[in-house]
Amino acid sequence: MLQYLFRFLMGGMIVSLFASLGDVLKPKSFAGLFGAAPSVALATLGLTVLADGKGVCRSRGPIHGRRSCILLCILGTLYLANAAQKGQPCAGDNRESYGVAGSRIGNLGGIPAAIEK
Amino acid sequence: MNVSCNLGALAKTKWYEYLVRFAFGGAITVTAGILAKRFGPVFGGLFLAFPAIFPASATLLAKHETRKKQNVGIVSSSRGRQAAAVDAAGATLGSVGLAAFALTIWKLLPYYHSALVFLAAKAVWLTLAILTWRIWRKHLCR
Repeated sequence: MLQYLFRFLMGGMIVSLFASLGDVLKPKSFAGLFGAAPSVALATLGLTVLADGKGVCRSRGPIHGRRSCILLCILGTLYLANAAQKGQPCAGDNRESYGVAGSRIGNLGGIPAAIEK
Repeated sequence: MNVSCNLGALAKTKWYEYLVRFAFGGAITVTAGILAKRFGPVFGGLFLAFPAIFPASATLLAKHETRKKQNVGIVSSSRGRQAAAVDAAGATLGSVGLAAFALTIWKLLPYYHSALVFLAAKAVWLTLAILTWRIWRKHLCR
């Protein structure tokens, strides 16, 4: 139980730290890099290594998960770029034609990754 | 556009928004641990790639941008959605770095000291993420 509490605190702290970093940085496309920072991986693998020695086996997981996440992010981005062009024009800047839903679709990355595995 | 840092942006985030981020990050980390224990480390590892930071950041960003526009009398959510969308593009590029982070740990951890491997993996992640972003800005971003 204590281990889970420690995990919770560690995970919360690392996620908050990276999220705050993303808040203060500009441009927002650069800040977005920190949205995909290995926060959960750092917390979990760090604790695993501390507890069990070397948690090498688990580090294969994010590779499968991330592959699906990238694919879904790209698909979502393309879909929303298309939707945005059909709707409101974005001040002549195509960069801003990306959509939030793209990332929401991307957030499902872990699920198809599990199926893929 | 150069990369800059505006610490004043931290004040725009309310205390309960920080709390939500903290709770969400903690919950995901605990879930990954429970899944690893129940189904084995490889399956649990899949959830280490869960984008815990992005959903909270993007929704907050959209909210703040919309609020900023409302303060100057523009009632529209499109600006907020566009800002969050640009953030999403960055997260897509950052995902490349995350895959390299995991690969580095996977390949090096059996042979070297864990602290050293973690440090190297973080360096690989940051370098690759920034490099990918620069290439995107220079060549692909229209």
